[in-house]
Amino acid sequence: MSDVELRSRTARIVRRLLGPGLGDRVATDVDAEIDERTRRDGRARTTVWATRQLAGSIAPAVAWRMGRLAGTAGRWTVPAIDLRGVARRARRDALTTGGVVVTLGLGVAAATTVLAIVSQVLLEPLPYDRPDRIALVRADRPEAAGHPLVTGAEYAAIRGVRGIAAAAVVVAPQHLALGTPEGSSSVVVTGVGPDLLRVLGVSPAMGRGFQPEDVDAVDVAILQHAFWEELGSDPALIGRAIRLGDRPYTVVGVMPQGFELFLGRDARGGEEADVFLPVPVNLENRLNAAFRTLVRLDDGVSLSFVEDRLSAIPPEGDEVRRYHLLALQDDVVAGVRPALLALLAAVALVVAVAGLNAAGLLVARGEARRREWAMRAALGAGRPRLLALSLVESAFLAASATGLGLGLGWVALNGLLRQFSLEVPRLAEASLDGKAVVLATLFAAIVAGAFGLVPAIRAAATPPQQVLGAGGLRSASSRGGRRGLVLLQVALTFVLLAGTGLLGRSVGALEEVPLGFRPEGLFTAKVAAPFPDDGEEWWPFFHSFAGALEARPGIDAVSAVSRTPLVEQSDLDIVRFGSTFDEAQAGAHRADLRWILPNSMDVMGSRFIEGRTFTDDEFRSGAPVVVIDSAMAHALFGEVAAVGRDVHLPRRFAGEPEAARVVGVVASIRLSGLREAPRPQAFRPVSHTPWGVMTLLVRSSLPPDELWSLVRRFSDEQGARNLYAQTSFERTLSGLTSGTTVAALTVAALALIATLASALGLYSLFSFEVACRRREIGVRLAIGADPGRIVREQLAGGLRLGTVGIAAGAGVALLLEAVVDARSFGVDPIDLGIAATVVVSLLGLVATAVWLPARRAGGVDPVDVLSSD
Amino acid sequence: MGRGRHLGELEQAVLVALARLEEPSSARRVYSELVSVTGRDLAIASVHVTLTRLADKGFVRERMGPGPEGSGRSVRHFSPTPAGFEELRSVRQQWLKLWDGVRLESQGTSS
Repeated sequence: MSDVELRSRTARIVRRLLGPGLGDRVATDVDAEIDERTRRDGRARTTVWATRQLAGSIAPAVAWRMGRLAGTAGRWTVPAIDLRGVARRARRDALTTGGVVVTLGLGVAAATTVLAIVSQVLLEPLPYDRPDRIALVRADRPEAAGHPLVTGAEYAAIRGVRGIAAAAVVVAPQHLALGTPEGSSSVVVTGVGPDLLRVLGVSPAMGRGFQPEDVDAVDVAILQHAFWEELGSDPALIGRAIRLGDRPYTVVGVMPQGFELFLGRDARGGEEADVFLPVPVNLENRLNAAFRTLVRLDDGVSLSFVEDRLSAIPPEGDEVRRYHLLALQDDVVAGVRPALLALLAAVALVVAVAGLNAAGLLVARGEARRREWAMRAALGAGRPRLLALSLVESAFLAASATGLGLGLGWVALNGLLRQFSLEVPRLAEASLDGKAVVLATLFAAIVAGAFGLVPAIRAAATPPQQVLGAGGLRSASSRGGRRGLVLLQVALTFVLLAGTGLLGRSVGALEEVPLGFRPEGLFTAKVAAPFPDDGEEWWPFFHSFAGALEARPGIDAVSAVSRTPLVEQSDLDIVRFGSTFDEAQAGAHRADLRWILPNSMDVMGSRFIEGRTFTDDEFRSGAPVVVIDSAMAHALFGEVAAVGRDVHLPRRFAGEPEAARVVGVVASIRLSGLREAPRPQAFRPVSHTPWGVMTLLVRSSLPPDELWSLVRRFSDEQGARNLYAQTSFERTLSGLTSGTTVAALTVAALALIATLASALGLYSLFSFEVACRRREIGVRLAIGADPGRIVREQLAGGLRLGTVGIAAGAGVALLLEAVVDARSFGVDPIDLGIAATVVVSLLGLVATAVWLPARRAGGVDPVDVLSSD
Repeated sequence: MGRGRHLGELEQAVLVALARLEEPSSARRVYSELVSVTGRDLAIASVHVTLTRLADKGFVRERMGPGPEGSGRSVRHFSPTPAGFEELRSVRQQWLKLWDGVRLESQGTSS
């Protein structure tokens, strides 16, 4: 840098710092000094000097400008002193300042995290064109209301309804083997109607979408962007063929990056499609409800208008149906909405506790400083100055709390939540955005501003001599207000602790649900029988597959069932049954029917109440036998033995009821999740029906990686078409309870925040009261009062306050019973055990928080107090 | 003494420097005096701001005087007011009283 440059740049910065006038004068002097020093000391040393001049000019420049803002140069010292004073007071009142910043910060963190999640999951529109126009069709059927699948014939009727601009079907994803030069890997394939992209209003990033004629050929594919990248991101892949399963498909398009197909609350989660294939729909089919149907409504047409038109579609057969049209956005989040709203309510409580606590601390500090303000006022500080002082302090507290809260919120969103695999749609995209920051800042600013300013306004309005002459700190009204704030905190803490107890007990109840089988050491995977698709060859394949695998070292037992217990269910397996054909046809009883191998019950560890499983002969010969569960036995035969009697139910998949001999009765097995009460169940030999993909059940003590590599090798040797979805029942179970576990942990974290805040609030309230009453306590002790009695009085006061707070909390908890119910399972919302535990814990907390100030009260030295007067 | 009229450390230093100079002086001159006597560098901006503050408090007066030689410009010159001298005397008195009897030589050294 040349001398001239150094001079001009330094002068420019000085002018910028100090503004015109003073800036010009300082710049002139600095310029002259640089000139002189360059000649005397050389350029290098002068550059160092100039740099230090600039750094040293910042503080006076800030003070100067703030003084100008305050109105006159004479008052320039006010803000500068205030800033230093704020820092000094923050150090002196470390407990109060820290308490306010931490509680407000925790409130901000809780609020921003949950609001970010709620805003992303519930409010952010789906990433499609005008997503409010897209809806999912649901049908009320005898087996389930709001069922998401329709038949081909129903789809044909639906797409012709007035008000529907486009309709498309989607079928459940399946795994197919992808043929590559390196071997084969499993990909998730979803069949979609040709109009799907039109319904969603999305265009492929490359190539084209499906056309009606693609459906007839079924030899084209559209790739997900991520899958296209996995295949090497080659644009020339368009027009080339990839091999899926046993046939080639020509790639015609690639979806845009980040495209996701949302299909409603009950779509299979965690299996994003890699490849989309056009799916043919038999528009005559009236039996097989297999199609999820998305529609795009015409502009200006309402959901209810189209829903009414849908209801006019003539019902199929004897089953009365009604169609519902739900906005896809609402349907996707319907499963998590109650939990999120409950979480929102819990966070509102925490924010309220945090806000009340910070407010209480600020009001207390304001009271404690009334004397200081009165002194300032007596020395000539006007009302604006007092308010400015208070405002600066509040801004400092609000900024610190916002910073802390946003930091914690960021950690919670990016660190903690990613640790759990939650089945919450679109949770991964939740982030702290501008809205969250604005809300956090507003919250902290309102609490810190309002409750920080109130005491200053009151002090400014009170004649100083009144405050100084009274010689004390306090007013009765402020004490009442503070007690009210603390009481509310205790009440809200009670609600959160009770909620934590209920959710914790729910987790316990879910873990104790009788499964009807032993999940420990039981692994599952889906296995597809080899091509060609000859149904008669399937069951012998699975039978010998299981037998041969069982002989491998490290494997204890192997079997197979038609669907995985706990997680896999289909309405197509819900069948009519009865003790006679007519009773079954009448449809009064419905059961879950599963097809199994003879040893399935043994391998699962299920308990036979009566009878036995199928013999090998019965299995191979296709004898009409069945194993039923105790619920079905009870429904048909009451207390009479069921073995040896006949029941009527379908023999084959989607078949008519026919007679079968009961050979055994087992304890009920949880087939469809933990929350739903099990239906009656029947188990028939898989040799009765063609079943191409079964769930392999493997009991083994091998480590999972070793086990699956062994099973995969074995499966390749046997020529199985595909092996996928390998997992263990222990993992499946933890997945089923994770939602409630996370809800319990979240509410527990919020309850912890509220508890800490309440303890701090109680401690500061009673510390403050003891400080206020020091003189009175000193006089009482001087005339012979027992210090123990003073301590007991304080404790009793605290416990009285706590008891009233707890009673109020119990009232609020009763009102919120419905909210808590949303995630709880197997517990009574009004649980006296939990309530008693929470009451005792809270009273313990109150006693502990009040104990320290109470002891301080008992230890007041009368001589010290009276002499200081 | 009214609110805000007591002197901070830098204010005292600047006022003493003006008193030492014994004639109305520019901010730069005051800066040079402070640097040469105390040996500590400080920002020229601080001196300007402090002089303005002292003027607001009534401890210095300012009037225009000749600028640096050959510049042909006039610049602000500052000198202590009677109140400024009075304040300096009072501060000095307080310090002397405070220091009276303090024997640093015999304290704070390890025996």
